[in-house]
Amino acid sequence: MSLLTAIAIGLGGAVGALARALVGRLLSGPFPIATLLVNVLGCFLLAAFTATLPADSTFTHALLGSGFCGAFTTFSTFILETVLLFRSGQPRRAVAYLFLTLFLCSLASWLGISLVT
Amino acid sequence: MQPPRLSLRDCLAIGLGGMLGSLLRSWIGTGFEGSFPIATLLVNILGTAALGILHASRHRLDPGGRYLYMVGFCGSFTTVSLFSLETLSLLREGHLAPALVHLGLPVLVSLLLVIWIITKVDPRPGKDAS
Repeated sequence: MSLLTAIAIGLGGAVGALARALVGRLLSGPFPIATLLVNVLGCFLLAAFTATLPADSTFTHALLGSGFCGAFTTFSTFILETVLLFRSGQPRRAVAYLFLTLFLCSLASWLGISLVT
Repeated sequence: MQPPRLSLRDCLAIGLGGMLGSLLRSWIGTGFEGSFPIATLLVNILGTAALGILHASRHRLDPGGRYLYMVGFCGSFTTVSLFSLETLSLLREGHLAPALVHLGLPVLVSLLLVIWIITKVDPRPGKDAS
């Protein structure tokens, strides 16, 4: 990993994490809609970037893909929220959140590839 | 209800955590080569277990620490966008079984790990809705 690539990933990662936290601030409620939204949106964006960006543009790939989309979407919060929903006596919401995220994220990735190619 | 605002300090903590988490994830990604994307599987399981431990002991962290380690670092170290794209790529290449393993294994293992960690630290259900 070159220094330039590392800078791009670090910068994209910082901005992606901040954008995710901001969405979380704006959309708080009993159902973790903020994490669902960032994950679905991030899946679409990464797929679209991967399909459109030329293979030799390492810097842009690192900045937008590994950096921004990688940090904007989050697996750990998604799983923790599923467990917390379950433990707060909402097993149906937990199961719905789990499968809705997996389904919509797969769909978003597919749409991202399909729409731009 | 107006959501609480993020201070500059909070934003710096999230940004720093996000930078370090993304760099570590990408660095681990360069260490594995092969047709099966094992690096993403590994970071997602590791990062979720770490978040579970941090959540279980969150009372010992100040808000800045929570933003740095939980929202920033663990949030950015783990990723859904690449996980989802890799699953789809495996599927499109006709590798049905590896695609299902890549999708199901991290979800199942992470769920079990987090449940185990939280139950171990705080065995009362319904007390951790934060």
